[in-house]
Amino acid sequence: MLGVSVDLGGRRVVDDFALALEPGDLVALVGPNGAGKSTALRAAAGLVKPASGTVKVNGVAIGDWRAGDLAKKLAVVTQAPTMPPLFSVRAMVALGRTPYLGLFGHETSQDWAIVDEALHRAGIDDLANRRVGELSGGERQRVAIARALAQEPAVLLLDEPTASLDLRYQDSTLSLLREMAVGSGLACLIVLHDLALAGQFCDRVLLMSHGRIVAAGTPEQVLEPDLLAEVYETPLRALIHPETGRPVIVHAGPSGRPHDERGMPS
Amino acid sequence: MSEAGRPWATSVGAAISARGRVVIRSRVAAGYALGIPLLLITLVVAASIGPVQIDPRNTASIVLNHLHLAGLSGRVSGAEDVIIWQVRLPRVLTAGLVGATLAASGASYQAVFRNPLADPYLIGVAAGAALGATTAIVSPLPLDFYNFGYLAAFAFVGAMLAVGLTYELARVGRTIPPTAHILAGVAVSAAASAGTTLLMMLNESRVLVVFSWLYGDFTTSSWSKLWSILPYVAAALLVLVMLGRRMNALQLGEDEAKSLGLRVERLKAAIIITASLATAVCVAISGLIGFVGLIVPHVCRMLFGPDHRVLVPMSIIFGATFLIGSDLGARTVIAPQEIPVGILTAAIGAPFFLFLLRRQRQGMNL
Amino acid sequence: MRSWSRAQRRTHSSFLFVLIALTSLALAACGSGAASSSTSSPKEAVAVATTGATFPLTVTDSTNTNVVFSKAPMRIISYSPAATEVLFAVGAGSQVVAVDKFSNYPKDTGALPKVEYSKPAPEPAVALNPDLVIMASQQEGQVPQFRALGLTVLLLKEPANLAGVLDQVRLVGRITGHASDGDQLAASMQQRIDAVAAKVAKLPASPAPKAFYELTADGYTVGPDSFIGSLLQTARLANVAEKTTGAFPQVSSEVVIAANPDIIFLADGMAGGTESLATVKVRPGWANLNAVKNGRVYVVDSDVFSRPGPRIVDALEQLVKLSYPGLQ
Repeated sequence: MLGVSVDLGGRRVVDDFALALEPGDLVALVGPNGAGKSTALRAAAGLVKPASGTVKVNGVAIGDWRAGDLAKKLAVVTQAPTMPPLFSVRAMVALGRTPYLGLFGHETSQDWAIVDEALHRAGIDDLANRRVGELSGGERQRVAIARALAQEPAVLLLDEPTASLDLRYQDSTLSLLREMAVGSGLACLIVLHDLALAGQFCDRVLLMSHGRIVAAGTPEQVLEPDLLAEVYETPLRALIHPETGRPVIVHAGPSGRPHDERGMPS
Repeated sequence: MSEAGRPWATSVGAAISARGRVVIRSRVAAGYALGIPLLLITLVVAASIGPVQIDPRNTASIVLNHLHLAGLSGRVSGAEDVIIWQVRLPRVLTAGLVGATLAASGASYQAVFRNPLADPYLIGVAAGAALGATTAIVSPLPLDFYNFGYLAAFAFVGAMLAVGLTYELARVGRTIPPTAHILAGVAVSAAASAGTTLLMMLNESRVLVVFSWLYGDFTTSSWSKLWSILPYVAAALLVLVMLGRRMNALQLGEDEAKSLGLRVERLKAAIIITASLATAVCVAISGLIGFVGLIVPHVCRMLFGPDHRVLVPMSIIFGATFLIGSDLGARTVIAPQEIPVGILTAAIGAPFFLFLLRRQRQGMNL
Repeated sequence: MRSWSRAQRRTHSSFLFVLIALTSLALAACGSGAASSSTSSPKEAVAVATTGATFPLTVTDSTNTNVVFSKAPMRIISYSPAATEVLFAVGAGSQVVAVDKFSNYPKDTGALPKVEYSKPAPEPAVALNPDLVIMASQQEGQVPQFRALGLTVLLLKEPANLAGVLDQVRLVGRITGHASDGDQLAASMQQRIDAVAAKVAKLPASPAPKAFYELTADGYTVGPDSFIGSLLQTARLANVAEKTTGAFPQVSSEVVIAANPDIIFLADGMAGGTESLATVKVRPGWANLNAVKNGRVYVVDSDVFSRPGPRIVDALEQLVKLSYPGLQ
């Protein structure tokens, strides 16, 4: 992505966004609410057309890709995925095979094998025959991830994939992505709220504020408390993780400043 | 009708051999195993029963004779031959075709709009066809009830114009938000209905004819009308069946579907246009028959699950059966008098619709 | 999803509403000044004035209301084409100030101002300052409204049989001050009816010829309960739809083909249709019907046939003439 700007509803939501994603990259996109992270992700996915700039996948502009071929390379997990409640989990995940299916749309046994593999990796084998409507929010998120995995993409774009997950599944999901990045060269761009997760699991972090990238680099470089305090408009401290040595950002105690004193809700 | 059987045999076979899905798949298999014979039996029964009593053996003889498979039995009278072959058989087959189309269109619309309460008349087909037909009826044009003449043509054009208008009204750039589409459909339908009512008030003597068309009936069925619509309807049904899996993907929402590689706007347009065309053609020859497009897909969904690769073919089979049965009722309940078949489907459908609404309110999100 | 169900429910309710509205309109128009009237009991029929042939008269109409006439009304509005014909036939034409839009006989009605036929609004009537308003079955629902505005309304429902028509002719003659004309007209009508009955009685005892009386090309016909149905009976014709109920049932082609009628009467004109022997011949299965093979498919003037007024005897005579061409 280069020089990408996106206008939504007359406002410039993303301004001059640039990102180069290579195989094996695990990049976190962080920033306060309304910074434009989701929009940037959607622009990367080709779901929204930028007002200026270009998005290219494998050197080809995203608009020039055939929809089916693009889907074999790029998969997206959106923030609160819609799931029609009556479908079974397995059927949902199988939808990830759509770009590979022919006219009548029938899965081969190979397709089912890939689906089962995706179910396994996302840790939801036991849920395979349940109806999606019966699942919790976190379970549904994992189903969405499994579906994206079933697409066998080279690039995976995720918008807050861990939002409803508990600690165990946060770990297992991000570890899975890390493993796939290292092992199969999967490239991931992940929008994350949780700076600790970003710091622990990702190699690169992009910090956005008001639509622009204000910092890009390793977690150590970007997760710098003073910079973050300015961007998030709240005092923060960085602690160093005893084992990994990576920075973990925490609040500097309750600030005692409710919304109105700041002029803007946090 | 007949095209439902073939491609699915392989899927059902493969599906049954896969692990973990036996329960649903065996239901589907049972659905085909029961549904197709049920349709055929209903067809045969409907062809054999009517306001005029005809010995079933004579019926069989007549049919076989016309299919050049046997000579005509001596017991068959000229009138019986005419009744079975010229009147009843085209009627039963037309009812089946229309029922299949309405149900398949209903299922398709429900998929595109992601709304289980959508029916084939949602975006203007019914009101547009009514206005078109009423225009033809009050005009001095000859109506020719037994062929696809002016009456049917006007109805068809009216329907498609309404669909086009709804589409244009709802369009935002190149995308159509489903809610806007539905609301535009409500507006266009209301306007068209007002127009129809106005025409009727200005031409009171024609009201009886308009009324009879509106409620729908198969009284004036003929081979001519059947052949006129068969190619279009068969093609449309085939397309809808083939798009079944993509309808599944559409349920995920427009963004997700796009990221799965589907050209969403084109797909929606293809489904809507195909379903609308097929429905308009059927409405043109048989009037407005309601509730088939709503109830049948629902029942099929409750029995066989939401996978459209199964839902659409099942809707075809059971839609045909339902309407053939309803038409049979329409002509035998108070024989020799006819009840417009739309009244019968409404009588069965309205309570069912209310029942569905209650279930939905109780949180069982269908 | 909630808001969509509401929008969707609105679509359905508007669809249902339209159907219901259209149905009521249609059922309303089914009467179109004609012999729609169902099987009303004879007690509902108008009672002829009991106080003799001169004013003041008290008439009990079909709403069981007593209407008192102290003198002949001079500003009559007629909402019924049949009543219009009767009014003119008894010589009260000059006392009529307005007629409904379907009243087209005799020609004198052409010059008169017209009022609505179904669900008429009372204002135009009030503006005409009538001293009598005659309504028929079609406008029954409006009677209370008109009366509430102070108008004198006489509801004369369509009679169930020929005798009822004659009663109405006499009644109208009396209340308009043309008692003797009315009685004379009724008497001459009765004469003609008797003549027809005598003719028909001379027919051999063989089974009655089967007749199909068509109202629309998709199978609407007259039932035995309808006025026209009773005419067919009087003319000694077997109605193909004799096993149906109601005034205007729909029958399938099957029934017609199986019955193989000897005569077909086409009254599609009532609903504005244009069927003829030529169009009937090409209907699937109709070509071999006796009536079609022998060319005995007759287009009848639906105005004459559907109005229970003075011309109804013309209708009866025509029926007999067409059905038994050789009969003297």
